[in-house]
Amino acid sequence: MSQFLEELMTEPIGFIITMVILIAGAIGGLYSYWTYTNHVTLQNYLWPIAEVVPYKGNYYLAVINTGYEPFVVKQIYLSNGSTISANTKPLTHNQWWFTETSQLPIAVKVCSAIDPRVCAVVPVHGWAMAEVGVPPDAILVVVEGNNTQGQGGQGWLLLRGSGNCPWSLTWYGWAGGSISGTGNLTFLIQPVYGDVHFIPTNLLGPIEATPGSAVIFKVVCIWQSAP
Amino acid sequence: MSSVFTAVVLAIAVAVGIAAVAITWPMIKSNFDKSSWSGSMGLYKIGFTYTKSGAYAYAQNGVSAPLNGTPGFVGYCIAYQYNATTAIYSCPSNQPSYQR
Repeated sequence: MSQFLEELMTEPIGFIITMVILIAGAIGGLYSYWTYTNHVTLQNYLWPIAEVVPYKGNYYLAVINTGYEPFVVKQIYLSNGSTISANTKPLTHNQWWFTETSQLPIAVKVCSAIDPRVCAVVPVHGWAMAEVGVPPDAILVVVEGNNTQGQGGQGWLLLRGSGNCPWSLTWYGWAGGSISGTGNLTFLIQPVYGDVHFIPTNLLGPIEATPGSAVIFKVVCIWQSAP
Repeated sequence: MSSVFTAVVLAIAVAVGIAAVAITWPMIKSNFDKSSWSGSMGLYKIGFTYTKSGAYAYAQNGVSAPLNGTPGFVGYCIAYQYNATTAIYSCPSNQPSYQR
């Protein structure tokens, strides 16, 4: 054995063969390692964000590419265990993709557009409710009407917010003004730095409000029905 | 001749070492970048307020958009107006939907 090693190191042919084997092994090893690191690197730069909100009985799912590596959305995993296949166009930086599902989506699989073998499964972020704030120098007035109508007692007809139920609202105090309409309306009284009092017509709601608050009025018309 | 052999083997070993570091570096950097990105997404916030021209959503980095009755994107969040005083939103910092 030692003679074999001696020949490898001393004989020109043996030396060349040994070098070729060593270099080939080194190149092969480095290539395998590069393949691995390249895969991990591409996977690390997949930066998808998936979000869902409930919307009209369904779920509204959005996927955005927050990174610079383009990817395609391949699959959507739902809460009942089923999956939906998708094959979107590549999403580049800051591009969104939307879809609606009947079941709650819990995860999304995306694959790199550079190397389709590089994929990542990301959880879908859920939703929360938040108050729409009112500026501290304003009062938000919400007039809510709907198109339901019903029979009141004693021959009185109660119409709520229908087109033929005009309402008006006058306010006074720190600020003054009036507005009228026939349906839904949302508006700000701004600026106000003190209490405001209301005189509603065909509206049910509070009689005063403080700055930074929201007040809701329901449109209600009570008319006597025809005999 | 054996000293030449040793020198060449050493040279190859050094070359392989340098190549391995060069190959590894992008992967190491990508790990740091991913950690930094995850951290920033975990802190992503949104707020909602009324203005004279209607309800608006304000996300990070000065991104804002009108709040509509249908879901739309604001920065990296999606949001819509549920009723006059309430918005429903989903942001990168929200908990996963399967935990709901």
